[in-house]
Amino acid sequence: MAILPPTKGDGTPAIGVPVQEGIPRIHPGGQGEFLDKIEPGEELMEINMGPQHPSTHGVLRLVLSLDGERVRACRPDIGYLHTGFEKSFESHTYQQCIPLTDRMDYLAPPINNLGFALAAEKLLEAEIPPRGQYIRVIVAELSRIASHLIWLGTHALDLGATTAFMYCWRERDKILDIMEWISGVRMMTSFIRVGGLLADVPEEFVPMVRAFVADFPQRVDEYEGLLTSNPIFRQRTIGLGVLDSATAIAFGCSGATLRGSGVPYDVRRALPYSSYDQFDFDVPVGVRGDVYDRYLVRVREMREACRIVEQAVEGLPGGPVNTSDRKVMLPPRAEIDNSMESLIHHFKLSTEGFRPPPGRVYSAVESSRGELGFLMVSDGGNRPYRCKVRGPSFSNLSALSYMVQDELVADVVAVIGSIDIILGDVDR
Amino acid sequence: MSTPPRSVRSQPAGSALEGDRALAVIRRLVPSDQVEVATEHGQITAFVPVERLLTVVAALRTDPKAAYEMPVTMTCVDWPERDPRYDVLYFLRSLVYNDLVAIGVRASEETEIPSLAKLFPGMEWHERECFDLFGLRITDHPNLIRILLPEDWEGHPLRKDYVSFGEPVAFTHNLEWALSPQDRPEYLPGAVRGSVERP
Repeated sequence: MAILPPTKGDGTPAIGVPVQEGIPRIHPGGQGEFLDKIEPGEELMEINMGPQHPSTHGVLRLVLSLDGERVRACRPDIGYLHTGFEKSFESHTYQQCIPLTDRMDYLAPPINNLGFALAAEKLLEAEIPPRGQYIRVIVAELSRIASHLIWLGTHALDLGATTAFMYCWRERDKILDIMEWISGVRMMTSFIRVGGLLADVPEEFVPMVRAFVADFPQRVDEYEGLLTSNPIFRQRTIGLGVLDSATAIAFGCSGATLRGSGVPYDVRRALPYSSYDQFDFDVPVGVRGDVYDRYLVRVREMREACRIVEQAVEGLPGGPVNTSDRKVMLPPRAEIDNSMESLIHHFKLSTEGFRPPPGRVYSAVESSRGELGFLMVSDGGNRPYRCKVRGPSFSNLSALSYMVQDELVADVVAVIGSIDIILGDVDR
Repeated sequence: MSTPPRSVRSQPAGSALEGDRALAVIRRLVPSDQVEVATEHGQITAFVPVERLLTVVAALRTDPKAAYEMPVTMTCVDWPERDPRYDVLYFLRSLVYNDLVAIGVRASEETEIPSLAKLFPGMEWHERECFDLFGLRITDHPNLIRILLPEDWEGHPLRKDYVSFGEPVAFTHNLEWALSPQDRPEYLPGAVRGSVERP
C-alpha cells in the first residue's frame, strides 16, 4: 500500500511495506507514465516532509517514497493555504479585489496588482498615460528584485550558506523603504489600481530609486562572489533536478523554471504590456536545466530588472498617472469643487464602482515566478462574474515530482528552492 | 548561459488575432456547423463538441503549423441559468508562433469530459482543481482527487449556487443581489407585486 496516497491529514508513515501486485498504481502526483518507474516488490519507506518543514517555503506537504536515501516518488499535497480568492473576487467590486491580489504572491504584490488591473482595463478598454505605465514598470521590477532577493537568501540558506541570507535582506529592505515612501505600506502596497495608481509618486521617489539602482549591481556581484563559484554550492546544485525543455513546456512551466531549461519565453518580451517594449533588456536562459542554471537565470534577471528600472527612471515622462476616463478612476480632488459631474462620478465610483461591458479576456504578466494570468469574465455588473488566476507556481510545482525523481532526499530542498514557489500563489 | 536556441517572436506571427492559427486546424477536424467561434478583445475562443476535444487538442499540439505545446491553464465558468451550465475553457500557448488559443467545451453536471493529462502532464493539476471547485466529471484521469480542499469537503465552492459566506447586506446599490424577490422593493426587477412599499 506504500504507493497509494494516504488520506489528507492522515500522515501515518507506512514503513517498509512492499508494493503489491494488482493494486492500481496511482502514481504519486500522477504525472504521466514517464514517472511511473516503481517496480512491484520494491520496499519503500513513505515519509512526510512538511507542511511545517522550514525548507518547503510555506505550507507545502510532500509525501516522499524513499528507497534508502533515494526518492523514488514524490507526491506534493497542496491546499493548506487555500483562501478562496477566486470566490471572494465574485463578491467584491473590481477596486476592492486589488488588496486581495496582494495576498496571493505576497513577495511581489505590485505584479499581482498589475496583472489584475491590466485584465480589468482590457475589459474597460481604458488607456493608461505613459507616466503611469512607467511607474508601474519601476514598481513591478523593484518588487521582482525584492522577491528574487528573498528567493536567493532562502535558497542559499537551505543549502547551508547562511551569509548570503543576511546580505539579501539588507537590499530588500531598501526596496521596501521605497514602497513605504510611495504607498505608506511596506509589503501589501495595493499601489497599482484599476485605471492607474493609488497616487502619483512623491518627488523623493526618483532620487531614492536612482540611489538604489546605482548601488545594486555591486551588491549582486557580492552575492555572486559568495555563491556562483563556491565549490560547495556548485557541487550541491550542478546536475541536480534536471528539467529538459520539452518536459518543462509540457508541464506548463514558466518563468525562470522554463528559462533555466533553455526556452526564452518571457511574457514581457513575447506579449509586451505596460510599455515593456520600450526598454532594452535581455532574457537570460540556461543550458542544462538544473538547479544551478535556474540560480544563474534568476541572478541575471535581477541585473536585467535593475537595467529596466534605470531606463524607466531616466526616461520617466511627466503628465498624469491615471486614465482620464472618469467612469473608471476617481477625478482629482480639485475638480470635485468645480464640477457637478465630477462629484457624481466620485460618488458613483465610491459607492458602487464601475461596470465593464460584458466580455471575457485572458491577460498575462510576467511575475517573478512566471506567467501570471488572469481570466476575467464580466456580465456587465460591478463585480467580476468570474476571475480565474493562473498562478505560475501552481504549474511549476506540478513538475516537482519529475525533477526530484531518483534524487537524494537532502537534495529535495534544493530543488524546491530552485523553482521558487510561493504557496499563496499555488493555493490561492 | 548561452544564446537562445529557439526564438520566440515578439508579435503574433501572420495574424492580428490571437488564436487565428488554431482555427485552420479545428476547421479541418470538426464540421463547421459544430464549431462556435467567439472573438472577444482580439482573442479567439473555439467551442468544440466534447467528443472531439481530445482529437482537436492532440492535433493542435502536434501539427507543426500550430504547435500549441504549452498548457497554460484550464478553467470553468458557471452560468447556472443556462443549459448546459458550464463553459470549460482550455488555454494553450504556441511558443513557436507566440500565439494563445482558448478551446471551449459546453458541459452540464453530467457531461463526461475526457482528461488531457495524457497529452499534457501539466493539465493534470488544473483538471483536479476544476473537479475540486466545480465538480466537473473528468474521465480517464490518472489521479482524480480533490487538490485544494480537504477530501471530506462537501460541495464545490466556485459554483454560483454555493453561498460563500454570511448574509448579504443590502445597500442601495446591490438590492437586486442582496434581497430575495419577496423582500425586494416593488420597483426592482423580479420583485413580487405588493411586497414592500416604495420608500
